[in-house]
Amino acid sequence: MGDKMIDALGEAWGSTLSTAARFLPHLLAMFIFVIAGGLVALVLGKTTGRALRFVNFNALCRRSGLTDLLLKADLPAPDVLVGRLVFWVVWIGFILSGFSALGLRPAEDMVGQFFLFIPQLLAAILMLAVGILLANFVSRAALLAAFNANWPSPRLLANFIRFFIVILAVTMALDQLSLARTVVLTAFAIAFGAIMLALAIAFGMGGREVARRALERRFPEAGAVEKDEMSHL
Amino acid sequence: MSDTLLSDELLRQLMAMGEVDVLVGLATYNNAGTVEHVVRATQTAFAKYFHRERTALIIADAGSRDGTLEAARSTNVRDSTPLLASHSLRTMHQIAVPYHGVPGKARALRSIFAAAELSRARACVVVGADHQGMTPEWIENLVRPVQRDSFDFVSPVYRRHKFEGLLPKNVVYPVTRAVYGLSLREPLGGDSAFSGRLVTHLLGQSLWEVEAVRSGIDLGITAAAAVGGFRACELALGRRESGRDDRVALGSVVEQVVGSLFACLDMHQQFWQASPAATEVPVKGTLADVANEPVRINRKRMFDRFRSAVSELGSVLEQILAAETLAEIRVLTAKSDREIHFPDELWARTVYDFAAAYHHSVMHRAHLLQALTPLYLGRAGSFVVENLESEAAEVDGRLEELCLAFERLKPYLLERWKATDGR
Repeated sequence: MGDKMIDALGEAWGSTLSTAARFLPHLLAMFIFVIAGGLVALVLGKTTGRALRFVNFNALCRRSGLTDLLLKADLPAPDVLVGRLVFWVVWIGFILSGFSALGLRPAEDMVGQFFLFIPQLLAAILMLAVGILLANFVSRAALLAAFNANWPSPRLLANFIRFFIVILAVTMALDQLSLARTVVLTAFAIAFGAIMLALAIAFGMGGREVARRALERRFPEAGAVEKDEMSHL
Repeated sequence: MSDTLLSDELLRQLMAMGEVDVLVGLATYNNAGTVEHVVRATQTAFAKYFHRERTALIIADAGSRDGTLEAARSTNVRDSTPLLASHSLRTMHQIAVPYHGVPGKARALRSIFAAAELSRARACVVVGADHQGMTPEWIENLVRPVQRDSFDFVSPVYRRHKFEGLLPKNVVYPVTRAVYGLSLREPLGGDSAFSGRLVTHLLGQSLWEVEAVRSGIDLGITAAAAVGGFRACELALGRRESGRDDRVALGSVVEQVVGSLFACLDMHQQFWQASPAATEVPVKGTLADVANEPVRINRKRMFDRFRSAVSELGSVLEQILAAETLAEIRVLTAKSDREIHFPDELWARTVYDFAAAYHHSVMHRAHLLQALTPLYLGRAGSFVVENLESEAAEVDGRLEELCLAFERLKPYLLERWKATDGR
């Protein structure tokens, strides 16, 4: 009886030891992946940041209005942000590869999903960046055109256009990532519909006088506006 | 080059015509009301002053639909015989042809220059087809400095009201004088004369290919002549009736004229950064005093636009102007209409900031030029207030001070131009 128990214990111990002996190299490999990956990610992140500084990426972002947006969101400068993004994407990739080295099925699935997610993430970031660029360009064009046409509240109009395009870009980016897709799309549709309805009601009811004045200014009666007797050319 | 610019029909006519001494070109577009007068004045000039020389009149039309070409073709100097002192001894040619390609003055001028080069014209004159008061003497006076005094470029000086041409006076003239070292009071040209040498030089320049320069081609030609070191003189031509189209919105005018100026600065940066020596420009004829009669100007509207721009377009102006420049402009907006005085140096820095921002493309260039319009209105309003009671000499003195401010601040332009991030 005692011998049998000792044998059982010995077998169990042996089995544990052999399992541990089989698992330990995988665990070691995982740690190597994590540590080496961290170093590689660090180098890549720093190199990216420096390369962006070299090509004056921050000035480009400032002109496009991206920097202002990042500052408002309390985020770092664009070159630092992109460098950090590269660091985390690379390091998470290495960490998940490390888990994959453990040979565990769930970990392998997770790694596969992560690498499938990366293109979507990049597409979403691109959508957001293009959206912000477009929002700034269109809103500035609207601001200047409305101002030079002597329209009332040109800045309000420009801010509305910028807000609308940014929201559209954010919605598209979140949809690309499949994050809370139904909620995001529904919320966007409701908000957009509500804004349009509010504008229609406001302009139709409350803004009749403003609209009348704007139209009168836009299409003055003959002789109503005194013309300057000077020539700019 | 000529064969690609000129239609087969025009080429055939030019070949048949052979070489000429004086070629006059008219760029027309729906000028049926005035073209007859200009053609008649030109033909009279040919007959009266150039009867021993071979002459040609070329009309480059941009596709007029109001019968401009028909009116020009039907005009013959014999209809106005009483005006003539003598008849031409040589054949007098007149060719009317619509020019093809992109409608616009640049294309017309290029065709005229190509025709002048092909016919080896010693003097090429370009006059506006919208003149109401042009006389044959204008043609003679334009040609003589090229023929007799070997000038390459004859630029006009018109008799203007002191509040006429505020954009050239406050922007284009001071900048071209400070940057190119060429003091031409009408850098936007109009009625000008060119030597055959300059015509050939201009045809080989890249100004025809740059869209922004093409939109203000007269300025592009003036700048190219300055860069090429050609001998220039000014010619007092008197009052120019009609002329530019007042229906064009100020924003578009600023965009075209100032856009063309900044594009020229961009194109010739190597030349002007080397600090070219100022060239003395002699004046032919007698300069008339600026007209001074009272005119109606809504200064309040100009200042309102200026003030409102500084508050509404702040985010745009911050990207273009240096912080100190914008701060000083903001101080101005707090003053009443009577107190607003836009100092020359501040205005020079403002224009140079815009030029550097244009060069660095800190934003879409059309946006940048649109943002300049209301600031220009502030400066123009200030100019009007300061010169309301001024006599001609005082106005000239103020313009001279403005030009000197632009010249003094040229190092500032260079500094902003060379700043790596455009700020």
